[in-house]
Amino acid sequence: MIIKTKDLAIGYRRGKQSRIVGSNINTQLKVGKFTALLGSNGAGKSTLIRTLAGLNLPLGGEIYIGDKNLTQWNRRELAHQIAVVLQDPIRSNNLSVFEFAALGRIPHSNWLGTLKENDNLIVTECLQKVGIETLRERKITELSDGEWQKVMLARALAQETPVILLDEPTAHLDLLSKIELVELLRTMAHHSQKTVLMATHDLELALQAADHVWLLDGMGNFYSGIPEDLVLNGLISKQYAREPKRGFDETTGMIRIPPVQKGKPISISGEGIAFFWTCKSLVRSGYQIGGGTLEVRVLSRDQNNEWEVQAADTSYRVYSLEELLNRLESLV
Amino acid sequence: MRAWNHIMHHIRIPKAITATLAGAALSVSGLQMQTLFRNPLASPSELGISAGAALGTGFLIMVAGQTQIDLSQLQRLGIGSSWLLVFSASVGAAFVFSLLLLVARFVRDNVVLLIVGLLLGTLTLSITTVWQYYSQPENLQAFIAWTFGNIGGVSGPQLTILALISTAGLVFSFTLSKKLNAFLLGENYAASMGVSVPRMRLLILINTCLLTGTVTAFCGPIGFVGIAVPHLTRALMGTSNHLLLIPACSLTGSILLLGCDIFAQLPGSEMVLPINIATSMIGAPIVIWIILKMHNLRTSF
Repeated sequence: MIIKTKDLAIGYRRGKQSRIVGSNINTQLKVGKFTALLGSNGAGKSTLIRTLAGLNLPLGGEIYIGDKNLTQWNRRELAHQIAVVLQDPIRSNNLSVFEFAALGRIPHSNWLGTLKENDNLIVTECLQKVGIETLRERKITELSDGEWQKVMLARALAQETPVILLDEPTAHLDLLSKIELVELLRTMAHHSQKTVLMATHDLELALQAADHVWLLDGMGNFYSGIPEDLVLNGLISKQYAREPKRGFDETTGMIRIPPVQKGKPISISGEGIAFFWTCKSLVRSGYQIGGGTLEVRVLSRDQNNEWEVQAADTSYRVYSLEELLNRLESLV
Repeated sequence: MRAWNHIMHHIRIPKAITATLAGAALSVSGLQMQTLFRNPLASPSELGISAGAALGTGFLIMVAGQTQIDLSQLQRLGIGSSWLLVFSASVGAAFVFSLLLLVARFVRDNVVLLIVGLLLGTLTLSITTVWQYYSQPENLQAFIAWTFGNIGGVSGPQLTILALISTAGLVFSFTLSKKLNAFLLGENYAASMGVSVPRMRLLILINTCLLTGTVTAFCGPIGFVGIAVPHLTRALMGTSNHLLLIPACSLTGSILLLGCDIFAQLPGSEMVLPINIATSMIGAPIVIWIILKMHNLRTSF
C-alpha cells in the first residue's frame, strides 16, 4: 500500500478562514519503509498525520491511498488500510490492556463486535510483538508511559493494516524505551512489509533509524529524502541548528550544546574510552585540548580509573574526573 | 379477594413493569450520553435533555389546557394522545440535544460542556415556567404533580407504548455496542476504525431522545438514575465494554428504580412519596460517593 500526495496543502479551517501550515507536499510513503516525520512544535506534524489518515480534510491537493484517491475510500474500507496512534488523550479507564488492544479488531469483527477465537489469537500475538503480553489483565490506567505507548501500538497492530501512522509515540518515554519502540517500528516495516510513518522530536534517533525522513520546516515548506541527504543538503542544520556549534552538529550527527568558554590550554595523552571521556569533560569545563604547561596523562585500565596531572615541578594522582577537574581548577 | 386481584393486576404489576422499563431506559440513555460526550457527568437530567422533554410535554399540556383538557385526561385519552405525548416530549428532548451537539462541536472541554448543558436545562425550564405562570391553576397542579415523577399512572395502552419504545430503544442501543466501544477512544480513533462519527451522533441523539422522551412523558422527569446507574454498573462489572454494560445497565437501572419505588411506598405505612424524591434520596448519595471515590473524574466513564 503506497500513500502518495500531490500538491497537498494541510492546515486548519475555522469558519471561512483557513490557515495553511504546509503546502506543495509531493511525496510518497513506500511499502516496507520506516519514515520519520520531523518538525518543530506547531510545524504541522499532527495535522499531516491526521490528514493522511482521512481525519482532517486537506486544504488543497490530493492524497492517493493505493491507486484510489482518499476521497473515494469509505471509512470502513480505509480502516482496513490505515491504523493510527494519535496524541488524543484516552479518557476511559475501565479497560484492561487486552480489551484496549482488542478494540483494534473493530473493523474486522461482526456487527456486535464479539471477538472470535481468531481475533483473540491476533490480539495476543500483537501484545507479544510489542512485548507486553504479561500485562494483558492490567487496567490501562496502571501503566507506565512506555507500557502505554506499547499498548497503543498493539491496538494499531491488531487492526492489521498495511499502513501505520504514529504521532509522537516516543514523547515522554525514557531513552531505552524510545530506542526499543523505534527498533520495533523499524523491524515491523522491514520484516512485515508495513508502511510506517512516525512523527517525532527525537532527531538523533530518527536520523539513525529511519529509512526516509520527512521534514516540515514550520514555514510551510516540506522536504523529504533519506536522512543523510537531508543532512548534506543542510536542511537538518537549517532546522535544528540555531547558530554555528549550537544544536545539530553535522560532523557528528549529534545535538551539541556549546561549552562555556574559558580557553585554558591543556595537553592530554592516553587511549580508550577513558581518554574519550576525559577529553569530553575537559571541553565541557571550558579547557582547550592541546598545548600549555599542564599535562594530563590517562592511566586508566579496565575501569580502574587513574589520572596523572603533570604541573611545572610536581605531579598529582587522581582517581575520578571530578577530582581531576578540581585539581586543574586549583592549578590554573 | 377480588380487590387484591384488582390491585395486583391494575396497579402493582403495571407499576413494577413501568419501573423496570423506565429504569432501564434512563440508565442506557445516560450510558450512551456519557460515552458520546466522553463526560462522566453526562446524563439526560444533568445535560437538560429531561428538561427538554418536560418542555415538550408542558407545551402539550398547555395547548391541551386551552381546549379544557387536563393532563390526566390527556394521559387517559387513549393511544392517539399517548403517541402525541411521546412525540412532543421527544421533540423537546431532541431540541436540547441538538443544541448540545452544536455546542460540543466548538467546545472540547468537558466541564464547559457540562455547564452549558446545565444552563440549557435551566433555560428550558424557565420557558416552561413562563407557561406555568400564565396557565390555569388546575393545569399548573397537574404539571407540578407530573414533575414530581409518577410511575404509578401508566397503564393500558400507555404501558404498551412505553414497553414498545423502551424495548426497541434498548435493543437498538445494544446493536450500537461495537461503535460505542470505538467511541471510548474518542472521535478520531472511532473514525480511524471505520465508524462514521456524524451518523453515530445522530443515531445516539434519536435513540436517547426517544428513550428519555417517552419515559419523561409518562413518568415525569426522573432524576439521578441516568447519571448514577452507568457508574454503578461500571464499578460492579469492572469494564467499559458496552456489549456487557448495556444489558447490565438495564438490569441495574431496573433494580434501582424498583428499589426506589419500594422505598417510596414506605412499607408498612399508608404514605407514598413521589418517585423523584426517592431517586434523589438514593441517587444523590451514590453520585457523591462516586465523585469522592474517583481519583480523576475526567477519566471515569
